[in-house]
Formats: sequence, structure tokens, C-alpha cells
Amino acid sequence: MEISAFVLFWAAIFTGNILLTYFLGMCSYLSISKEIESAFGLGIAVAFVLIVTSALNWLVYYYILFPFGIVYLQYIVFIIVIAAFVQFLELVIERYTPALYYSLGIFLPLITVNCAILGVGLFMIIRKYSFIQTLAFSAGSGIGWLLAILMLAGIRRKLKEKMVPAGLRGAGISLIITGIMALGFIGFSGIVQIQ
Amino acid sequence: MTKKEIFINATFKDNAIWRQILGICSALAVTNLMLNSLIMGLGVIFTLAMAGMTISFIRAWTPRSVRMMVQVLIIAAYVIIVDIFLKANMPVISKQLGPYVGLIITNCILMGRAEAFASQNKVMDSLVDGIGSGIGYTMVLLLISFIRELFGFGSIFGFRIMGDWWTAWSIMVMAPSAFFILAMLIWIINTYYYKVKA
Amino acid sequence: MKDSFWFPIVFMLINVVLFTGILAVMYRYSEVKIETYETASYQQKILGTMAAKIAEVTEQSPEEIIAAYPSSFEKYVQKLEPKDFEREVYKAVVDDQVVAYCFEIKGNGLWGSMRALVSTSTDFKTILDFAIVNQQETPGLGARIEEKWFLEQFQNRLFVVNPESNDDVTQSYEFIAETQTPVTDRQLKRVTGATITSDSVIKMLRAEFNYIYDYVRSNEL
Repeated sequence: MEISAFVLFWAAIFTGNILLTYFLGMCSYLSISKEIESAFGLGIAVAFVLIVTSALNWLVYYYILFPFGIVYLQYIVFIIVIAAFVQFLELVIERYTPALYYSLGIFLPLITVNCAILGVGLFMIIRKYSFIQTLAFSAGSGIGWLLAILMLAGIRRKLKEKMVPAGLRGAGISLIITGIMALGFIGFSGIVQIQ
Repeated sequence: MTKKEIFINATFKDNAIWRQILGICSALAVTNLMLNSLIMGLGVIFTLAMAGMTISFIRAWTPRSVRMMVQVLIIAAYVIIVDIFLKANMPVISKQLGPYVGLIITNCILMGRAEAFASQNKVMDSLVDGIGSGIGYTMVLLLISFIRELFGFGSIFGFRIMGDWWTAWSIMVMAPSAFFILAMLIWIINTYYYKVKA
Repeated sequence: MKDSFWFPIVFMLINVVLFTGILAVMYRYSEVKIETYETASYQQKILGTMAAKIAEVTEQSPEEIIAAYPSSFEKYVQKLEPKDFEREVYKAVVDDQVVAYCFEIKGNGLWGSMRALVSTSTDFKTILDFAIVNQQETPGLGARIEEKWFLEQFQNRLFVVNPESNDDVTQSYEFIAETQTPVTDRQLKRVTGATITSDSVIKMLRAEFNYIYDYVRSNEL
């Protein structure tokens, strides 16, 4: 594929946003968007895990799975690499920043099954990205995810809680905001098609 | 808690989608046709029950530092086992389920219930919780897909019920519509089931 | 014991060995069964893409030919192995006369690779029929490319329009909404909500036709 890493990086943020155009990584996005601070923390964590595990998975795929002809184990190997890395991260965060550890709560383990991360792994294989392209694409996707969760947290803070019907507060209104944002991002899709 | 209470809790009170907001990716992706929702739901019920039991069974020996890897491994292994079994013995059903394998492995309900319930409770309780959560999830999926398929295609389970006069709403087929329907559903549930008041 | 350094590693290893072991054993025992079934359904698809043409020549109905699998497959379809040609290719022969060719083509969709079968006329310019062998697109969205109305759009479509060209022998297509009716032969209906998958199908067909046509211009199949 000839797309330059630079284009890929920007396209992954805007025209092919992993969350708003592919709808990957929704669960933690919806739950941790009440406050900008924790949204930012989770966003950074996801972006970080995404970039590192995509690079690791790229190396695993091209230097282990592919040469040995065990590509069919791709799913299980990718997800174990991700789980191992998140597990490692959890131990580090728990030890050095307990405050962040408690605010992320159950969602730290859930980064493992954040489908955005596995999604990027599968995209880079199927689109035959080089290592540099993979780095650019995963960095763009991670930042795109961070951007989306920050936007939602920002909108939710500005939105006066009193104006939202009681039953719709929280998850309900987040879903509606995301739906409108997703429709907005469809408008970007005509600019560059990365695929 | 009795088994019945665990079941009611998992299915309604702590429903995976409307209460815990888990499994949203798949709820968006597969709910434009009722048949897809049903297949996905059955896959999730089975995996939740089996993986829940296994994780609960080994919980006493599982070191905290590798628990996530073990949970993911068990979940993925069950999904792939079902996939291979169906491919060999029921190829027609396998063709239907095939594309969901990835979606089931990354479905956060599985990991969520493993972490929150199975890793701390008894084997049979985990089985009941798994089945209950799975049924709760399937129920919501079917409800959303009923609305989306009816308006988006004019059919139910593939049978056309709207006449030729019906103009399909393309937006219902696309993913964003699921956001709005799910939001409305949560609104109704919060108001009439949890009786949330201003 | 649970807190020692080695226990977690040993525990993880036991789990990995146990579960991959179960998977490997199951896979080994099911392999033959799975393969038999897959070969049969693959051959039925090949026969299916050429059935209409065979039926036309032999004055049967296409359904009769498909129903007579596997004997009809053995009777009419032959595998070809042209030199340096990197695709699977089959021909349908009736009374020593080639009536159609069928190529296996590959491409990428949104989530994974796609494999499809396309049968062509004997001059390789017209698509007779088109079938998807496997794809990994989103169920209910992209996966709907396997629906009949989408595939039927390609039936009897003149696909190689610039046979002399060295860059691209095919033409570009324009997608219209699923609910509209094409007015020119360059318009195709797209699957609603699956723009990328629909584009991928066309991209695959155009790229593969260029490869095939380039080969047959200078070689015999």
C-alpha cells in the first residue's frame, strides 16, 4: 500500500475515526465520560496500549505467526498479547498512581477487550501496512479515540444536567450525543479513503 | 442470594446493556436484522455460561497478576471450540455464526462478568449468572433489531410484513440509528422500571 | 504460593498448553470433515456460476444441473493449470466445446480478505455470474454483499470495455443507493451502510480482471 504514514495518521483521526466511523471501543467510552479528567486518563491509557500492542502484534505476526504458518491462531495470540500488556500496565499503575487506578476501576481490565485495540490489529494485517505505517495508523487511531472521548466528556460537562430528562441522564444522553457526532463524522469520510 | 435472585439480577436489575452499558459495539453492529441478533445472542449465552463456570472453577488457584490473560484465553478458547465443532458437524449453522467469532471474543460482557462475578463466586452461581446475563443481553438485542428491521427493511426475521407501499428508512440500517433507539430504550427503562425521578 | 514469582508463570503456561492442546486436538479430528464439506460447497459454487451457460447449451434448466452435483461437476467442469498463472481457474466443457471459464479471485474487504468466484464468457470480456466464497464483513451490513440482488447486478455484464488498454481494461463504476434503479450501465446499487465493502467488491473485480485479461492476451489458458 502506498499511502504515506503522514496521511494515514491524520486519516485515522478524522476520516476513519476508530470510534465514530467504525464504532469500536464503545463500552469504556460511554462509561468513563462523565469527567474530563478521568476521560483524559483513560484516553491516554487506551492510546498508549493501542500503539504498543499494535507494534508488538505486528512483530509477532510477521516474525512468528507468518513464518511458522500458524496465522489461524491470530485472534487468540493477538488478544493474549494485549491482555498481557494491560495486565502489566495495571500492576504498574496500581503501584505508582493508586488514584488513577481507583478512578479507572473495572475499566482497566476492560481495555483488554476494548475492540478498538483488536480492531486496529486486524486492520493493519488486512491492509498490509508496513511497520512505520502501523505506528502512524495506531497513533492516529489512539489519538482519534482520545479525541472522541474528550469531546463527549466536554459536551456532557457543558450540558446543563437540569435540561436533560431524568431518565435520559448518563448513558442515555451520551448515546444520543455520540449518534449525532457519528453522523457528523460521516461528513468527513469523503475527504480521504484509507482502506 | 438464591439462584433465582442471581438470575433475575443478571437478566433485569443489572442488565448488561441498559444498566451496565456493556457490549455496545456488538449491539450496534448486528442489530439491523433480527436473525443476526438471535445468533449473536445464542453464541454469547453459551460462552458466558461455559467461560463463567470455568473461570469460577479455577478462581482459587488463579494468581491476580495473570488473571486477565487466563480469562481472555478461556473465553477465546470456548468461542473457537464452538466454531470448530459447528464447522465440522453443522456446516449450515456454522456459516451463519462464522463472522461473529471475533465479535464474541471482544464482547466486553464476557470479560465484564468474568471479572465482576465469576472470579468471586461459586461454580453453579456463575453458570446461572452467565445464562441470565446472556438472556438479558439477547432480549435487548432482539428488541432493538425488531425496530430496526421493521423500519429499515419492512420485515421481521426476513419475512416481509410491510406492503410494497413501505419506503425503507436507510438510516435504520446504518449504525447511528442504534444509538438513538438504545437511548430511547434506556430512557423508558429508567423512567418506568427504575423509577428515576428528577 | 500464589504470590511467588514462578507460580503465575507456570499457571499461565499450564492454561495455555491445556487450552491450545484441546483446540489442536479438536482441529485435527475435525479437519477432514471440514475439508470435505468445504470442497463440496466450493465445487457447487463453481458449478453454480457456470450452470446458466451449460444449461443454455445442453437445453436443461440451471437448477437441474446444480441438483445433479457431483456427477454434473465431473461431467462438465475441468480444472486448468496454466503456467505462471496465480489464480485457480476452471472451464466448463460441453461436447468438447468450452462454453465458460470460472476464476477464483481474491481481494480485501473492510475486516478481512474476500474470496469470490467469477465466471466469464470465452472471450473473457463478460461476467456471466458472480459468487462470494467467503468474506468476513459485518453481519447485516457488509455481509449483505452475498445477497442475490447485489450479486445479480454483475450477471451478463460486459466488464472488459477497453481491451486494448495497457493500464486498465475495465471502466469505473458509480454507486447509487440500494433503493434506486440504475439508469446507465455504469451504475451499480450499493449495500446500504456498507460503502467500503461495496467499493471493495468493485475494486477486487477490476484489479483481478486486469490481471486475468493481461494474462490471456499473451497466453493460452
